[in-house]
Amino acid sequence: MNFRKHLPLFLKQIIYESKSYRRNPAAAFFTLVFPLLFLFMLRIFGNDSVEIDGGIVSRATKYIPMITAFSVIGSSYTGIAMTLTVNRDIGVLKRYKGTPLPLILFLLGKIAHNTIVSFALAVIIAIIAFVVFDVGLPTNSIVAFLLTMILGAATFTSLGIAFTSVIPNSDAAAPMVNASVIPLMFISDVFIPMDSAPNWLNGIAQVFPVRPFSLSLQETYSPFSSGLTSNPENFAILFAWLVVGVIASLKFFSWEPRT
Amino acid sequence: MDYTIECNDPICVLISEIKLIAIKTNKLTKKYGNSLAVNGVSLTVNVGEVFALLGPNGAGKTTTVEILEGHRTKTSGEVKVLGMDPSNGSTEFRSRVGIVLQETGIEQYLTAYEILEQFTNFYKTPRKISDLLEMTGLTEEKDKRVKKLSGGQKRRLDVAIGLCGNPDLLFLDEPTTGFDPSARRTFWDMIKKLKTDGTTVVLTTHYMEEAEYLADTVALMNHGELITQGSLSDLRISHNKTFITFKTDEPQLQLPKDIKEIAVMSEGAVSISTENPTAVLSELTGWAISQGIELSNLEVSRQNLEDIYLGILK
Repeated sequence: MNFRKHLPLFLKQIIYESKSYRRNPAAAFFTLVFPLLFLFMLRIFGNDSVEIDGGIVSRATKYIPMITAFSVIGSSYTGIAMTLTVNRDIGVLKRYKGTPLPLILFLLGKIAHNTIVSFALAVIIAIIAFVVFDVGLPTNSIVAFLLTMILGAATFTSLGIAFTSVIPNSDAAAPMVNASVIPLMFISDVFIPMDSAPNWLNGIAQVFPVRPFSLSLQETYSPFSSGLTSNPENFAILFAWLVVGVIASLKFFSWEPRT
Repeated sequence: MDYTIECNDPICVLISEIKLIAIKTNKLTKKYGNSLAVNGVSLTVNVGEVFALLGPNGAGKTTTVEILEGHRTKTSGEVKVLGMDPSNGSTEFRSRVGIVLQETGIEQYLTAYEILEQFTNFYKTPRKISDLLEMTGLTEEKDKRVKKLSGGQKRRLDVAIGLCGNPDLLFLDEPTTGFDPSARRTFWDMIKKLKTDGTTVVLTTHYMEEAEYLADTVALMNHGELITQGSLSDLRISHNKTFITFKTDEPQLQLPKDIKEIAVMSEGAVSISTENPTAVLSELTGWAISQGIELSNLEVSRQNLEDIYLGILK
């Protein structure tokens, strides 16, 4: 695979992905609705103080990274699994299969585009948090924020692609995708802070990528942390899942309806 | 165009085989579980011809074509398409083949122009987008989003996408299903034009008049097997029946004995199918004159492809 030769095609694929995405404003808007709804709830419940590792912060500072994690997983993992399954069922993917476009470029185009969208989402949430809730931007660990976002979005997109290989058809996509990730979110510090959860439960959650991602994001928002991370293990787990996602995608990806 | 070369030298034969044969299969078989979707199909498609694969629903046409396209793997037998094994899915193979599938799935939110722009990016020597639009009559629709195109326009965009890479070989799987007659005629003219440009076309269709209008060679499949393959004129010679029909008000018409054996009477119409139309016609008209009977609506017609098709499938 010659990367220099394929780079222009890769960039063009991202452009078409992004055009197609932006032309479907409903889809783009609703990716933002859920995080906005969460922020609204946060507003209603009041922004009192909570304790995190290292000190006391406002409730918003604790919850904004969790909301970000939820949105990023929604737009990368859930989003890609559903669109790909629909596109597979209606024959869009089979058409690509008949052309010289290499599978890896097609998939990388999707992963890159989704990472960009997720990143934009995270930035929008950060700005709203800053303006409305006075949550500091994750500037004292900006590199950590970038790294977490890129690694997280790429990991969840690749896992979403890999997961399509077990989804039989587009009718089954939504329930299967949600069932595969929402229970995990409940035990992974996304909806509920898990500080007081039993160790064995956190231990289980730590095997999967959701908790390491949420914790890494929380760290980047914490005013008491600086530098890259105090928990490199979280990055390592995410990266391992990225490798699993990419390999499984390349191996099991199907261009055609499965039944 | 005639590609036949008189040649006995083995090397010459070899070269002509390589150059002139676009597709060759030998005892091609595809099994799904215990059922044979394709059963020992051996066919040859020459370079530059329009090859029509006919047959009723479930005959194995699409499975056969999808094996040739590289979308399905064969169970056994040999397949060579443009000298390559299509199941490898090599870049060279995909670059030289254009595929128009039965179902149309296109990204809904891009315009026709953008879709073609995207797909031409995949090829080293693509066709010009303006040519693609013109060939398929989509120039005026080029800035419309796919979502807004009519069914026929989407189908033409399908074909335009199939032509993006300027393919040597184009597969069309039931391309005109759902077209109105005038759209179909326009489409046919486009395929004829492609043929004069040297593109080999493999077509599956339900419409006999489509095959009759376009195809140099037709192959007929049923129950996964290839029933017959040949040029239309060959088929006509091997299924050389002529129809003689006329009307009569006489319910108890006493036809001459040997004509009666081959005649079918229903609802006041008599239909005779024969391989010796001259003799039969002479006997029939001689008999009618001697009996003073007028053979109203007398018609002599050659079998068309549909008659041959239905006759073979019977």
